[in-house]
Amino acid sequence: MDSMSFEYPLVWVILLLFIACSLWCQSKPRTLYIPHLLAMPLHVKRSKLSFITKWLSIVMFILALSSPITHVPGHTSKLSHAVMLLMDVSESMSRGLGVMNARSKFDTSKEIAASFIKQRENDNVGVIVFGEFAYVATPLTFDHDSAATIIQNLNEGIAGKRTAMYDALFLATRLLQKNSAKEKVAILLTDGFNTAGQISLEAALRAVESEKIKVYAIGIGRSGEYDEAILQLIAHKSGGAFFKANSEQMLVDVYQKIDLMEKSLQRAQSPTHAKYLYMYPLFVGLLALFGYVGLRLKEGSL
Amino acid sequence: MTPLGYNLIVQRARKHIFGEMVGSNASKKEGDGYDFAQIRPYMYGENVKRIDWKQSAKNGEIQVRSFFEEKEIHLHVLGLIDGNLHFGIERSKLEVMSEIVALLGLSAIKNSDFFALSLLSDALLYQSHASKKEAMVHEAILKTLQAPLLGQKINWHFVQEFALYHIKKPSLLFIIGDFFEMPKLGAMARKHEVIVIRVRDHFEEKPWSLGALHVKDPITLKEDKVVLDDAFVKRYTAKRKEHDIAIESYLKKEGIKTITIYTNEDPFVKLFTTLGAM
Repeated sequence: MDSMSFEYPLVWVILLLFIACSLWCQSKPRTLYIPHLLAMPLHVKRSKLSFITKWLSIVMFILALSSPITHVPGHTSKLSHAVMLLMDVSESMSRGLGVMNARSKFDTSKEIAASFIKQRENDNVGVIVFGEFAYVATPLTFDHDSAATIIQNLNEGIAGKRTAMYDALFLATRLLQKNSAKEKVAILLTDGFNTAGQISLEAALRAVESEKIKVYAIGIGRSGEYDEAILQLIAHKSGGAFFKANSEQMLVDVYQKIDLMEKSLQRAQSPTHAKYLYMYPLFVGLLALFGYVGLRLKEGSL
Repeated sequence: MTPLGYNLIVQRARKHIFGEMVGSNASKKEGDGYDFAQIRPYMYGENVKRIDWKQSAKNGEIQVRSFFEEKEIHLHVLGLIDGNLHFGIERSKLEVMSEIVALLGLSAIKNSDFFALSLLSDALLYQSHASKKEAMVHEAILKTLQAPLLGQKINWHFVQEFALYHIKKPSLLFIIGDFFEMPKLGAMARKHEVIVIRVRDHFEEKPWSLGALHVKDPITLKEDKVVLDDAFVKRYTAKRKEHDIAIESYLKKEGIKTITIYTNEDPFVKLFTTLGAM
C-alpha cells in the first residue's frame, strides 16, 4: 500500500474555521447569577471527555470529507503485458537436456514455463505450440492455472516431427494484434530449425515488427542443434533478447531474466487506482458524536 | 427613580405595623410609665403626685404607686450587603431584606423608639441618623433597595469595628444578611443586644438538579460551568449543612438570637412570631 493522500485537501480549511470559531465566536451561554456554587471548588465540574469527543467527531468528519485515499496497483495493469509462449513440441524435444540429465527438454521446458506463467500474475498469457504446424493451445487469458495445466498436459510430437517456427511466430502476432496491452511479448522456445510451415521468415519478422512484439528467443539444447543465427535475428529485430539454455538451471535462469526484464517495465507503467478510506473516519466520527451527545444529555445540557 | 417593589414594601409594612401591631416596648425598670408595678411606702424625695391616698389612709402610712418605666430603645439595623443578595427564586433576597428593614423601622417609629440603618459591605455604603421620623424609615427602605450588590463582599472586621465604635449607644442591633460565612459578632454582642436575621433562599441550601449551567458568582463575578446533578446536590447540601451547623453553634455560643427568613416566607409573620417567642 502506498502512502495516503487526500482527494479534497482544501476541506481541512473547515477545521481552521472551527478552531477560529471556538476562540473568537463562541456562543455566549446564558449565565445565571447563583451564589456559593463557585465558592466551593469541589463542585465545579469540567467534562474533559465531552471536549475530547466533540473535537474528535469534528476532526473525523473533516477527515472523511477530505476523502483520504491510498493508491493501490489496479487490475487495469493486467493490460500492461500480454505474453505469448511459443513452445516447440517437435519430436526432437523428447531428447534429454544436458549430458547427464535424463529428463527431456520438453518436460523441463513444460515445467519451467508453467511456473513462469504462474509468476506473471498481472499478465495476459497465451500458449502456442508448434511442430509441423502451429496451433493455439490456449488463447490469451488471465486464467493462469488453466494455462499452466494445459502446458503440463502437452506431449512431444503432438504437432508432428518437424518445426514450423515462423508459422508459430506469425500466429502469435495475429493473436497479440487485437490485444490492447502496452507491452506484447513472445517467448519463443525451440530446439531446432524452421523445417515446416507456410510463412517465410521475412513475413514473420514484418508481422512481429509491425505489431511491436518483443520476442525473447530461447535456444534449448546444445549449440548447433537450433538455428542460433535466426533466433538472434528475430530477437534483435523485435527488440527482445536471445538466450541459450543447455541445462535445466540455465533455462530457469533464462525465464527469471525475462521475468525481471518485463517486471521492471510493468512497475514503471503500472497504473494505480484509488482506494477510498473515508468510511473509517466517518465511523469513528459518528461514534464520537454519539458519545458527545450522550455525555451532554447526561450533563443535562441538551 | 423609585425601585420596583418599593411602594409595595412600604404599603405592606405600614399595614402590618399600624394595622395589626399593638403595645409598646415594656421595660422592667420602674419609672415613668403606665405599666403598674407595685404599691410601696413613700421614700423621701419621690414625686408626690404618685402618692396613693386611698392606700395611705388604709395603712396609716404614706404609700406610692410605682410603674414600670417605658424605655426608649435605640434600634439599629445593620444591613450586610454583598453580591449574594442578588438572588432569589420567588423574591430577591434584597427585597426581603428591604421589607425587614421596613417592618423593623416602622415598628420602632410606632413605639417612639429611635431607628437607624447602616448598610455595610467592605465599606460603609449608607448610614442614617437615629430618628423617630417615618420619612427616615422610607429613605432607609429606598437605600436598601438601591444598594449595589454585584461584586460587593462583606468585611467582617470592618463590620465589627463599625458596630463597636460608630454605634456609640448600646442598642438593639438587628444584623441582616445571609450568613453563609462565619461571622465575627462576639465583641459587638457584648456591647449591644444582637439579633441576627438570616435572609436565605431554599435553593441556596439545597439546589435542584438542573443539569449544566453557566454560573456567575455575584461576589467574585467569575464565570464557570457547573453541572447540577444529583451527586453534586448531595455533596453540596451536605457541605452546606455542615457549615451552617458550625455557624449556628458559634452564634449560640455568643448568645446571639437568630431568625431565618426564607424568600418564600412572609417576613412579618416570621419576624414577629419569632421575636414574640424570644
